Amino acid sequence: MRSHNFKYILFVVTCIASIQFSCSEKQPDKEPNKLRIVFKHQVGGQNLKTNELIYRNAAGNPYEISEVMYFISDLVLYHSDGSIVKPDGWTDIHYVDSRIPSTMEWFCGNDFPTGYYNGISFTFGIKSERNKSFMFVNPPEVNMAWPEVLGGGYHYLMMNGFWKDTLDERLPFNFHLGIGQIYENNSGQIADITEFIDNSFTVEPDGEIFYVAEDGTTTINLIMDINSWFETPIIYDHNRFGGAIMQNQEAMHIGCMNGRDAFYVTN
Amino acid sequence: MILKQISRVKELLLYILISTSPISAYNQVTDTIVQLPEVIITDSALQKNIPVIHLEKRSIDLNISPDLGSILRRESNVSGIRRGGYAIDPVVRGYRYSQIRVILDEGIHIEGGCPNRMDPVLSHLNPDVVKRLEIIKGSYMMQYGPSALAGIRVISRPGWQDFNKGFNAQSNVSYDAGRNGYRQYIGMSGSNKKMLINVSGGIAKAGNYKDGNGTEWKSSYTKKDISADAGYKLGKNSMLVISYKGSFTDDVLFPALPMDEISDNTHIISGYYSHFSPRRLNQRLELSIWHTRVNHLMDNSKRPQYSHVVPPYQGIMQATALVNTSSIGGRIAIARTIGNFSLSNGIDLLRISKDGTRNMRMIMIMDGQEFISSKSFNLWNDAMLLNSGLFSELKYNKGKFQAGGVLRIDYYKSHSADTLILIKENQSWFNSSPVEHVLLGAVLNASYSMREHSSLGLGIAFSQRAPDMQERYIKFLATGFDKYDYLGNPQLRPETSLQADIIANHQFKDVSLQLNLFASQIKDYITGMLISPSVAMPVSMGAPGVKQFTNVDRAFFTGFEAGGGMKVLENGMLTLSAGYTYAWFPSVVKNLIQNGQVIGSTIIYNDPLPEIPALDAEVQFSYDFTGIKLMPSVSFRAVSEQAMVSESNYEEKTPGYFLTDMSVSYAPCKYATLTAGSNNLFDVAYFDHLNRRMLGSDYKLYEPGRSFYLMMKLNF
Repeated sequence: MRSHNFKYILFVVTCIASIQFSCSEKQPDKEPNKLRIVFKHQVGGQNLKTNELIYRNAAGNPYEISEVMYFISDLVLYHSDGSIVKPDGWTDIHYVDSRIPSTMEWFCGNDFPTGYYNGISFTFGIKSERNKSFMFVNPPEVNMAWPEVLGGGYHYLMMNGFWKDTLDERLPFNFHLGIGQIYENNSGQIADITEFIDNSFTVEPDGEIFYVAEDGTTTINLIMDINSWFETPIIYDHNRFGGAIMQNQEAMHIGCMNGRDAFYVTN
Repeated sequence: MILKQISRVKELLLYILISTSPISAYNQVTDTIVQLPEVIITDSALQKNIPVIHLEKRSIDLNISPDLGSILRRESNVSGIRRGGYAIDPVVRGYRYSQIRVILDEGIHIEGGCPNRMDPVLSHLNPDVVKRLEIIKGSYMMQYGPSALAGIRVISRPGWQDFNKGFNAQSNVSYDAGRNGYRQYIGMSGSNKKMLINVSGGIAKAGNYKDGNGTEWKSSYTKKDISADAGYKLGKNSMLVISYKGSFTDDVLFPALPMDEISDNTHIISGYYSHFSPRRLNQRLELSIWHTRVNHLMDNSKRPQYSHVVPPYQGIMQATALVNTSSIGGRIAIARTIGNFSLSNGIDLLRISKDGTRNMRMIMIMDGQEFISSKSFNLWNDAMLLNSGLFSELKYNKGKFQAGGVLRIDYYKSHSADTLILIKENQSWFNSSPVEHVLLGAVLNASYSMREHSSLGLGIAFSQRAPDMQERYIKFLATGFDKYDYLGNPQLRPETSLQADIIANHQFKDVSLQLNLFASQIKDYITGMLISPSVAMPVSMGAPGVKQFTNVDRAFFTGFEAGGGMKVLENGMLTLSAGYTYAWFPSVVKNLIQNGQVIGSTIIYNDPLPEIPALDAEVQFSYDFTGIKLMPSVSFRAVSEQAMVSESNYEEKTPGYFLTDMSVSYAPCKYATLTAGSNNLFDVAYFDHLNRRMLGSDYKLYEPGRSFYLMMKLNF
């Protein structure tokens, strides 16, 4: 009887113990086509050197750049077969920060059709319908917050630096673009704001045709020419607009007009 | 003859020891070796022969902590999630949150207010008023409301046995030198044959604790509790009890969470009626109703970023959240015995409502001006959950054979007034339309006593758990083990669990052994899956992304609990216990991340579930010097490294640890007991696998280092 019971226990224990204890196994899927965009900042074809007062814009302002931060969104690719490809990517808003190397590249999507692409386009900044306050709550993006009373959401661009004025005095400038405001009687007083302006704009950068290869990552460079923000079609003069333009729609409008041709693509 | 009787008493004591969990045995023997009255369960509808730990009041009172979660954590295969110095959130066999149904008495449900679980259910209850705890390791509790994957039942209500006891006063005072904390409780009760009245109140206050490295953690808290019961016998066969419990906390700090609990006020009112048939005493009717309210306020006012700019932020960040919850419910049960059969049938009803808002403010200086941006978010918007259930239970007992079964059916409905609608590329991610489910549950168990002191039991449980308020409707809060914000999913399917337990008890001479093997499969397991920022972006500071609660095909759990007791020398007792759970997904998606960006995904096979406790084992020895009324006790607890971590969740391994606790109790008279002791005697610096990460860092919250304590219990 005792032996019978023991066998019974053994049988039940064995049944439970037979459940497999197995370790993790990884079975990677086929690698999809990926596009990696590398962001570069240049002045006159040379990589930007920050904190060196060595540049001069079209208005003749000697200037230096301390940092450049901006958002791009709504990326679109133009395939050589005429189709328009929108990345089936993880995120469609990308933040670039010259101080943070990891933001200087963007894995902007998977499963791009193989082949040649004639170009790309994107929104510089974030369109108003999506540009909402508290959309980002973590650094570094959260530090791009645009004040609620000035329209809310986030800066499109923060380009900070110094310029020398007509008295040869080195002054700080915050070339900041975001939602603009119209003031009654151009008062500049927050209480007099009558309208907000969506200053975001579409960029269709010039550049080289690129090829997306199969089963791999294709890299292209998206280069921003800093000087271009201050020229073509309108010359921007720091001496005229001063160091802070967040409440100056005219200055921001000029910046946005000039920014349309500030980018180009290379392989 | 006398010697024979003594031997018989010894056998009886050991039998009682093994007929309860080996782990509960550990706690019982710390009090006294003689435990006869403590294991006679008279007011539990739970089936016998299921994996359940009974923790008696005497064991609970031995703990210095006012936190029931912390007390449970010492049980085998029961662990806990630490987020601060108070409110440990229990984990049973790897089940957590609403996978564990925590109830008070006949099914009283307390809906916590905090989405980050600062106030898990047990944190609203004062251990001093608890008469007994039942930890049910599986879906076996179906008689007290909707079933879950595990259960914890807290028994506090006075019963028939509490009448005609005269006047009684109790005082518990303790001091914890490790965190300069004190705890005081005073209770008075008076009863005659017809009436009883209990009134009690307590306060617990503790400062920050230091870990074994000497690092101080901001973990202080203040907690106050009051409780009152009034009972009245309506004739010889009927009893009515009305109870109130209030719990009020202030400034409970949670270094692992983005906010602290500023206040949490809980009110629990309940009524219970019991009636025995005067002609057939084996027929019994039970009625109970209850109502609970929780008001939970939290903010980050005790963090530097509330008043200062803390890099890398460039502004002052302020956040406040207020949540109000309520639950109302009732239960009717009728039990009767016919021959060897015991029958019980009942219905129960539960309605939970929850509403809460979070306010955020950001104060920034730009171009020399101060700008303030603020926004309010609904955490829950008049969310409601309704569950009505019907259960039927049968027990059979004849000779060496015992068997039982429970059937349960629930109708479940949930609704939210939430206006958030997330639709992306023709896919609906969040749309809070009303949801209805019919849930089924069944339990079967049987045991056979093969010899006088050996038995073998088998339990099988099938259950369906409906998603809770958080899984359905939470919006953008970092409520999980990782840093991600979590988004509810109103369209979740219920989890369906099938579990089997084998329980073997054996005794020879003065040694008792118990083994419980278990395995379960959970279909449609609910877990968080990362969603694209183009669908939703995080709202909580520090959250790298958003995970949405999703049904994963299935998950498996398996493991064991084992233990034993042995009489050593004349009055010594040695107990051992161990428990382990291994849980895994047969297949799960892993997102590949580079530079903080998701660059692809892959399938992982047989990936361990995250947040599963490691193997734990405990040995305890106590000796009763009856002559000098002194009982020293020492325990050793070892928890192994947790290396079975989730690859798909980027979970990290946790090193093991070894702890030593000791205490000495002295009972100078029958009215008083003095206890002095030390937890973590060797000041080990350690953290548990389930502990949350310190906010803004990659390291986990450490456990308290060495603490010395004193306790005095008076009972007149």
